[in-house]
Formats: sequence, structure tokens, C-alpha cells
Amino acid sequence: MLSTALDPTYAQVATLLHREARLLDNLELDQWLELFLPHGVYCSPLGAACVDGEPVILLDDDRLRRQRVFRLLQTPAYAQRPASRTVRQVSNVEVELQADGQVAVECVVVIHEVRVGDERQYGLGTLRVLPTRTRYLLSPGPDGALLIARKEVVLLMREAPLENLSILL
Amino acid sequence: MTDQLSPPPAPQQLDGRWVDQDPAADRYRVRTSAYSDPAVFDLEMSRIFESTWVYVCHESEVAKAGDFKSTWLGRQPIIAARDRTGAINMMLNVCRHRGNAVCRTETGNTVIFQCPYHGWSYGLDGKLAGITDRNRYPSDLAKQIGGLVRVPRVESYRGLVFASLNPDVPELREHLGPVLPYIDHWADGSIGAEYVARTPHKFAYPGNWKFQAENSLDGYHGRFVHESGFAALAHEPGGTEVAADKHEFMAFDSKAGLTRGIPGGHGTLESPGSGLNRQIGVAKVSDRSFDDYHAALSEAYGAERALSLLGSRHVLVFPNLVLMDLNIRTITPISVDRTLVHSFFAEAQGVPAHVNNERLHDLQVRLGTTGFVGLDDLEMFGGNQTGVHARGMEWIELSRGLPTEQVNEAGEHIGAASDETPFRAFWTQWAALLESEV
Repeated sequence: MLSTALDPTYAQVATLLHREARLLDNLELDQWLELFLPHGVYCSPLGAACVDGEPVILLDDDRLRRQRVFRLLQTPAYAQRPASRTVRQVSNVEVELQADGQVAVECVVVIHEVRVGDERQYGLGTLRVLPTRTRYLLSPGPDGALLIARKEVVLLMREAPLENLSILL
Repeated sequence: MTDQLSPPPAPQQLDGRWVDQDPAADRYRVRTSAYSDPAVFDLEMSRIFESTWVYVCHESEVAKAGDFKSTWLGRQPIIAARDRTGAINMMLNVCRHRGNAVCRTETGNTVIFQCPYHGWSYGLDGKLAGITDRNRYPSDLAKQIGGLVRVPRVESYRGLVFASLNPDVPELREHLGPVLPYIDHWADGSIGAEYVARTPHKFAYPGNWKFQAENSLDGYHGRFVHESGFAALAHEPGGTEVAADKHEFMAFDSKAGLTRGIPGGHGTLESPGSGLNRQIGVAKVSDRSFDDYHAALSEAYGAERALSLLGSRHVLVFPNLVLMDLNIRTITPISVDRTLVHSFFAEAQGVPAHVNNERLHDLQVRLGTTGFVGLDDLEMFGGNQTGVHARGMEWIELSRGLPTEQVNEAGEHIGAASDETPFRAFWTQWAALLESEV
């Protein structure tokens, strides 16, 4: 069943998506980790969708997500020194309530990214726009609030050679 | 008959040479302009990429009749297509009528290449198959034109397809001669049939193509550039941290490992296999996958070679191909300061699916589009490119290990794992091609 903007679930989804975008933009990544269910999957395909056994851009379980955040926050990850600044825009949100109580979401997320600096150094100071169509499967967590069971980020530029995709998507 | 390619343009007169070898002083230096000067880049394209053998694709990328791939050879747009006889043809992706590209997709399967502009069509072997409304042309025009301009030389070895725009190059096997044993060693990791190249991860970086070529054999940078990646992969969420320099992920053994500079500009970075770390190359896999792969290798090649194959070896095949354990990596120069890298997972044949799945996962996590390890390498190349434009820093230093390296009977130079030995082989070949007189 489609949920519309006036529906309480739609409002809950919108709040979650906006909060996630803000946490990622602010590099509050430990809090971002807690938006996922422990078995949650975070992935990004090279083709139209992530398929088992096929090469992908990203396929993280809980452990890899935590290792990725650890790398970005607590190690000298040179691809993020200087770090990227990002602004994410979430729109075109469609919400579908499923019979099992899960919520399927498809939306457009546009990530604007710049690494602090300017053209006097290669790779810095260039504004990059990464349009995505992002799909979520959300499930109620222990306290009833919706958490992420699956997040699949389909990059518009997925088939092109990408430069330094070291930020979280 | 199809036309011959026109010869490369005569090089501009450039001031001086780029490689300074001074055996007496144990110094080996390269001019920074070799990485930053657009005129040098143009010369590299004509003297290396459009004159010698260059890697183009893996046979498995065009596995079936009608499969094609459009790519570049040097800076020439080409199509590689498999025809119904099983042959792989390569030709310029340029319609003989008005010069339009006849193929605008990167990969696919077709029966014919039809130019979208006026409908001229060509077979999988490049032969002209049809001219639209042909009676408005002289009657023998189709015969005069023949077809798409063919790449004059295409040969393959162990599934790796190379081509040359120069009809006079020696046979591929002769050209690859000194590096053949290392290609064999890599290719033997697939059992009973050659590897299958899967959908590639693709990267771009703002730097010269030679930074990637060199870095593939650089056993010196890992402790620094990859401290982050190694620490993250060893990180146990909720557990205690392991010091970065204690990680098993430190891929190349500083004591038992070695570097090899091979005549022809090729090279290796090697860590011998002992089976003790229960890794496949540098890939950490489950005990089950290690045991299954080890058993399959032992059955196919015997115990001793199986252990050798479990070691890690990066092989650079001059100028643009890197074979790293389970990875085929191609380097595509776009301009003096921009490069594309395609990284194909090489799926081994003759082993259980779970072995490949684990190795693919390992490759993606380390060296994929969002890899913990590879992205920090690309960051170095941008930093390098910034530096090589500086005046007052005219030379970079490639002398590491020069005083102590050994030369064996095959003419290979052998250095320690962190030595710059293979870079010197690379640059010596590069200089032989670029600094030669016309």
C-alpha cells in the first residue's frame, strides 16, 4: 500500500531520511551506524541492482560498516585528508507499506561533495555532484522506531570511472 | 584491401633526456617533466602506446561470437569483436564514409556494426557489408574501401589479448619473452581453463599514468599509505586495536619478498607462498576456501608449485597491464594528468564457487571502487601530479636498492621487496623507446 505525505509512516520515513543525511553530512558516523539493524546491508551496484556473486561498488555488513567508519574517523585515510564536505538533498520519496510490517522506500538522493582546497592542488576544491536513486527497506527496531534493514544506493554514474569514492553514500 | 594506418607523427625535438643513469654514483633519476609535460605524453602515445604491443582486453570479455568491446589503443578508438570463426578482430571504430563512430556502447553483442549517421554497415571482421543507396557512388567504391581500418597486429597469450598499431612488431611471445614465466605463474591460478574477467571496477585519477604503473610494484609505500586500510581491516568492532605494523595484511614480506626488474620494462613484486598464513595471495579467506583452493592447485600442479601459487605476485607487463593475484588491472592514459584504471576480478576456473566469492569480496573491500586500500593510492597520484609541475625539483630519485641489487643469468635485476628495482627496468625501457632517434 502506498503511503502518502499525510500518513504517519511517511512522516516517520521522511524524518529518518533527513536525519541520516544530516548525520552523514556532519560526519556523525557513530550515530549513523545506529540507524541500521544489526543484520542490515549497505550496498551499491555496478549494474541496475546488487546481485549475489556479482562485482559491486559497495557491499557492507555490520562489521564492514563499522570498519569503514573506523577508517574514516580514526585512521590516516589519505583519500579523506583533507576530508570531503558534503550536502545531501533527499527528494522524490515514495513509501510503500508491506504486508509483513516492513516499509519499502525509494527516493532520490543527490550528494554534493567538495574536498576542501582549490585547483592549486590536483583533486581538491572541485564540486562533484553524485545523483543517486536510493532504495531502503526499513523495519521496526526494538523500540518500534524504523531502522534500516537494507540501503541500496544506485549511482547515476555507476558505469563511469569514478574518482575517489571514499565518502559514505 | 583495407588501408594501412598512417605512421605516427615525427616527435618534436625535446631538450635533453629524461632518465639519468649514473652507475658510478649509484644514482638513478627521472626528470619530473616525464610526468608533467604534454609533449612527452604525446611522444609516449606515438612511441609506446601506438608503436609497441599494448594490452587491450581479456578473451573472456568477448567470449562468444558477436561479443564486442569498444576501447582505445593508445588514443585511437577501436573495436575488439569476436566473429563466427572464433577470431578476435580489432579495427578502428571509425566509419569509412564520414568518420563517425560505428559503435557507441562499451560492450555488447551484435551481428553488424552500422554507422548511425548514414547507415553504412560492417561485419564483425570489419569488412564493409553495405552502403546505403550505393548506386549514387562509383560502382567499385565498396571494393576500394574494403572495410574499417584494421589494427594490423592482434595476438593473445593465456587469455590476455594484445594489439599493436605497428605492423612490424615482433611476435607477441617474442616481445613478452622475459615476462612469460610470470604471466604463466599468474594464469596457473585458474585451473584447467583461463580466468574469466568479470565486470570491472573503474577509477579515474588526476595524475599521470605512470604513477599507477609504478605503484603496482612499490613495496615501500604500504606501511604509510595503507596504514589506514590495514588498521581498518584488522579492526574488531568492540575489540582491542592491533598496531598497524603488526597486521597480517602487510602484504609483502620485507625479508622473504623481492622485486624483479625484467628486460623489456616489465617487473614484479613478490612475496613467496608458504601456506603458513593461510591466505590466497594477499586475500584473507575462510579455512574452507583456503583448503579447497590449495587442494585444487596441488592436484593440478603438485605440492611445490601449489605453494608457490599461493604466494603473492604483482606483475607489470609493460606498459599498461598489471596482474595482481586475482586482479587484472589496465591503465588507460587520457592526458598527461588524467588516467583511467579498470580493475577486473579474475574468476578462477576449476575451483568451488565459494572460493571465488570470497576472493571477489576481498578484492572489492581492498581495491574496489570504494576500497579501503586502493583509494589511498589514488590520492598519492594526485599529490604527485601537483609536485611534478614544480620548477626547482627537476628530478625524482629512483635509486633505492641500486647499490645492492643482483643481476641473474636471465638479465633480471633482483632487489629487496621495498626496492625501486622494477621502476628502473620500466624507465630503462621507456627511455629506450622515447629517447631513440627516429
